[in-house]
Amino acid sequence: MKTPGLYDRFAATVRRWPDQLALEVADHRLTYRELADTADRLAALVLAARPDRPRRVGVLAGRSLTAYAGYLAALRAGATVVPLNPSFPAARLALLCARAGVDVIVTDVEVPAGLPAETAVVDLRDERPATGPVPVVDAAPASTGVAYLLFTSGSTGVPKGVPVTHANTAEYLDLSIARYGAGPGCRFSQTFDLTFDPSVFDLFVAWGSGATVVVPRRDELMAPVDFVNRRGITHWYSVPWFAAMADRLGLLTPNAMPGLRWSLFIGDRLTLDEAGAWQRAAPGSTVENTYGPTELTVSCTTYRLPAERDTWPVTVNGTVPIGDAYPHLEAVVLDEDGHPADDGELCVRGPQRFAGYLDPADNAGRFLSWDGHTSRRYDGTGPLDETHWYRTGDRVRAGATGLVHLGRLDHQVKVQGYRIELGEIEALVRAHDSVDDAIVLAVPARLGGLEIVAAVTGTGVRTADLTSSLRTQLPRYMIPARIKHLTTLPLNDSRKIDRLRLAAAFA
Amino acid sequence: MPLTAEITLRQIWADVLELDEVDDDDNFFDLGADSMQAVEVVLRAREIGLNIEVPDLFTTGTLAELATLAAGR
Repeated sequence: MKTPGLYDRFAATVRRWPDQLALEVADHRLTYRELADTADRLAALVLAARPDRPRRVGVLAGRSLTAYAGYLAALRAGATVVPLNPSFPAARLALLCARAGVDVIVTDVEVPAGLPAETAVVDLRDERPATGPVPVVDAAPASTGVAYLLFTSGSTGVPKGVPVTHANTAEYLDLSIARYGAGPGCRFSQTFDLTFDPSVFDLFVAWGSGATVVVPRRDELMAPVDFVNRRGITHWYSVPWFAAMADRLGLLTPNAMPGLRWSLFIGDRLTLDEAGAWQRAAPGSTVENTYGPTELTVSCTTYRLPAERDTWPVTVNGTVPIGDAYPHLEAVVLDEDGHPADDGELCVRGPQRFAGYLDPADNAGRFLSWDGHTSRRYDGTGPLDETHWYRTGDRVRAGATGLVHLGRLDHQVKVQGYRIELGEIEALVRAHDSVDDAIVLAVPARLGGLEIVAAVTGTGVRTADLTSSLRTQLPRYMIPARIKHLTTLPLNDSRKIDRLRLAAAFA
Repeated sequence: MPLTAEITLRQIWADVLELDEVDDDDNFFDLGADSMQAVEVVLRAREIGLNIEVPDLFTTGTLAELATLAAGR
């Protein structure tokens, strides 16, 4: 049997439950039928803008109807969807569009300057796509090939494109729909930006089952307990930051969210304390900690916390385990020498593993072959096939309650769930005219969590100029909060830059 | 009363955002603030009796508007 594509899942639900609510966003409440019609209207505009058939459609919109209908329209028109974040600086958006080979952009915000000249634009700022006649869309929905293309921070200074195919999503979505009892009447929170892949869970677990996607406004999102109650959320999914934030604000009072059935977290370390505080407020919900890089399609492991707090596991670092890999995946923990170990790097293969980066040059070193005894890193030459394991770069420890996440093996960090390669920021800081050398670090923030800081050398460095320049190139969460100007960077005994001493200087 | 709230909030914003000076017509997020700093502002404001919520920082356009809202509660 052919595996269904993302749009096929939505279309099947439109046929089965046309009058169920599919989406609530801004002032709109759309049934499945209405959302399908809206997506058709946008798909017709996309096809009109590129009669030669668009291959990749950028969706540049925030928490608006355009964002969600545009996402579906890209797939409906037979293309790969490339979500774009309107809060990113124009230069970064232009870079992403060029790298992705975006043929058409669907947007309801100002079109950024510097887009490749051949990029067509469907500007919906003055349109009302939710109403009007429904056109005949002269294209077959995409159901094979790349479903979505996302960019993650790249350590060499350029974002890495991660293409994820419809086939990659198939088992993942089947499992999620069953595991979380999704169906009509379920109401899914939509806390993630569409540029962050857990949003694929919100959209297609809901739309593949007849549930409703409920999109909070930015201000609503900052009052999660009110949002859950007022909007009747049954399935909550977010980065752990929301639990920590709600706890600090005193919002997590006992049984504050009686209607919540599922509390799912992803994207950053979830502490047992945060999970406990959230569970106290949502005692009718089951709490799970899910884990996975974009390269492995949203999440590839999960741990379900027992209902009774006193039976919770105790872990070395106080975090909730990330649990076990899904049954349709293979996972192995390897030590530095490539031998199976209890403590080492998590490597995964199976149907959720992507086929390689947009730029094949990024594949070198990120995969390995392993025959059960010895492992060999993929060096970028030779074919990359499904026998290769993806190296997550995450250090884990195997135990009785599944895997526990111990940290990163490289310089990737998470700030509020955003995945950041310090090397990417470093490369841009070094590229600034006045800078000789630079080290970018993540240090504990005054307000909890991590913050990005930079140490720079060079004559005549003006940190304010440097910051303004970075603001035109990087998303806000990647801008160093503090920049220190030093005469030289400190070295350790092996003549390497002493990152620990530098970090201490920022404390 | 609004004046007191304004002075207090000006001080809190400046502290949390590590800025020398904040104007009454400044917008919190235009000053480069993030949601973590929004939480911090709310916690500090509450400590000294100003009743604001995090969403208020998103729904009011300026420091002066936020102060008026806080003073009215």
